[in-house]
Amino acid sequence: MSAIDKFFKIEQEQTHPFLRSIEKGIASGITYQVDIHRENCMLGSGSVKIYVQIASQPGQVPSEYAWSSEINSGLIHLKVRAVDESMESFRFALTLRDSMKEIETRHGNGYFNSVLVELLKESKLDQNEPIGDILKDTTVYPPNRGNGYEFCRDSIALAISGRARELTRSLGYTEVEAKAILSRAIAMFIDDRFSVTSRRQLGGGVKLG
Amino acid sequence: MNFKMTSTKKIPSLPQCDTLIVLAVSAEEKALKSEAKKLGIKVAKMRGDAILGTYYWLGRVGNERVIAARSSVMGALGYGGSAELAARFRQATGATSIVQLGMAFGIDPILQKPGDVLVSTHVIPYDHRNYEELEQGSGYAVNYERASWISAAEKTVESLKRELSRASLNRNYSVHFGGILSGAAIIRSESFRNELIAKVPCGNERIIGGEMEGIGLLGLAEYPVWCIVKGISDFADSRRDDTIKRDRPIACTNAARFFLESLLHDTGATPPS
Repeated sequence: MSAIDKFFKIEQEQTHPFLRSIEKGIASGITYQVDIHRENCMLGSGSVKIYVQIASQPGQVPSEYAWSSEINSGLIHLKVRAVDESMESFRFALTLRDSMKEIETRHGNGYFNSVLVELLKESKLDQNEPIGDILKDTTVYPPNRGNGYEFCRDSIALAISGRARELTRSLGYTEVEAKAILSRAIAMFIDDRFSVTSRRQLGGGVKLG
Repeated sequence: MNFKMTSTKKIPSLPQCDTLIVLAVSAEEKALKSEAKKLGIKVAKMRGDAILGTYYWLGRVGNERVIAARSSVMGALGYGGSAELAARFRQATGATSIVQLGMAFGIDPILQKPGDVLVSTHVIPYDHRNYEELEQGSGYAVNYERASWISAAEKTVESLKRELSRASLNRNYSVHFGGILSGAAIIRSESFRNELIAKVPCGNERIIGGEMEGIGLLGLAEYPVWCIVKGISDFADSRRDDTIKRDRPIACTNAARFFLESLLHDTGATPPS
């Protein structure tokens, strides 16, 4: 048997070692929580850390990782919720950002911006308070309706509905809770992407060139 | 002492853009304006904004609303350097993509030529290094292990790769994708340039050139929103200053042309094959 053969003998899908340890803990009855922390930073946005702690021991030193979509999605799969709904929204804002990356890369920066904002507005998501409040200071040009328009739009919609499913099916939130969390997450994602709060703090309203 | 308050003026609305172009020197600014004009892109100089100062509004180029701004000092550091300028403009304009455009040094005068365009897939901050004393005061050694590679924005890199693959366009220059060294040093030494290439850890990627401003963009966000697109103006050797005088215009022109054409041609609406 050659050295490489052992890699072909593993039948179960292997996950990140950290996720395996969490899985073992859950199997032994431990409930975990996720806390996310973003460093305040004067220039741009600071680095994001993900902390996993045992729910019954909030004072303990948690396990710490730099934000990783692999670890986050593994924790969602293991049904590990955030410490509260506000933190869950922040976590899902980052999850949305990660899930949009491939779409953005495929269709390009400006086109993605246009389709994203148009989708949110045409889906009437801007009638939802946190999203509407951020979108009112976000402008884009209308996207051209080329061959890939539907593909781009559907990909974005799928990314959002995928997160909705994770909230209800994986993390077990009620639909009412999940809608509130996801609405705030979308608002945070848009705010962070288009620097809306920063622009407001600097005194800028909307000016479409 | 009494200070007289000036009349309170309403702060003007800030322009929102998708792409911010950061420039460092006048030759880069001149080339951008010139190439934009040739491509039918109007460049309006905006003056006196309270937060942004002077900048250029290029309007809609392809699918991107584009603003360009020039730093007031060369390099990344200091007020008005690429780091401060890009952070201020990003916060004020909501730019979701930032491109450092202009001129850089190449690393191989045989395989590269002046005017070739370099696109960063990664940036290597080579100032991240350790100096270690050698035995019995015989000098020091430089250790570059901390100069880790940082990925550029994949969306910009992929868009530029799509532009390169448009075979119908005849270009009299080559485009190289790879790692770009970035640091504060003005390099006029082939030995130092070669030391960087030999000692900076590069994994499976290759180093294609170096410059001074890209390092300032690394702190803008914890995820990459930036890319460096620069033409080769010299090879960081003892002939650097003379070479730059001759090749700066073609370096800046080709970089500006390549980037603007990528914006114009990338419709964004092409479905995946």
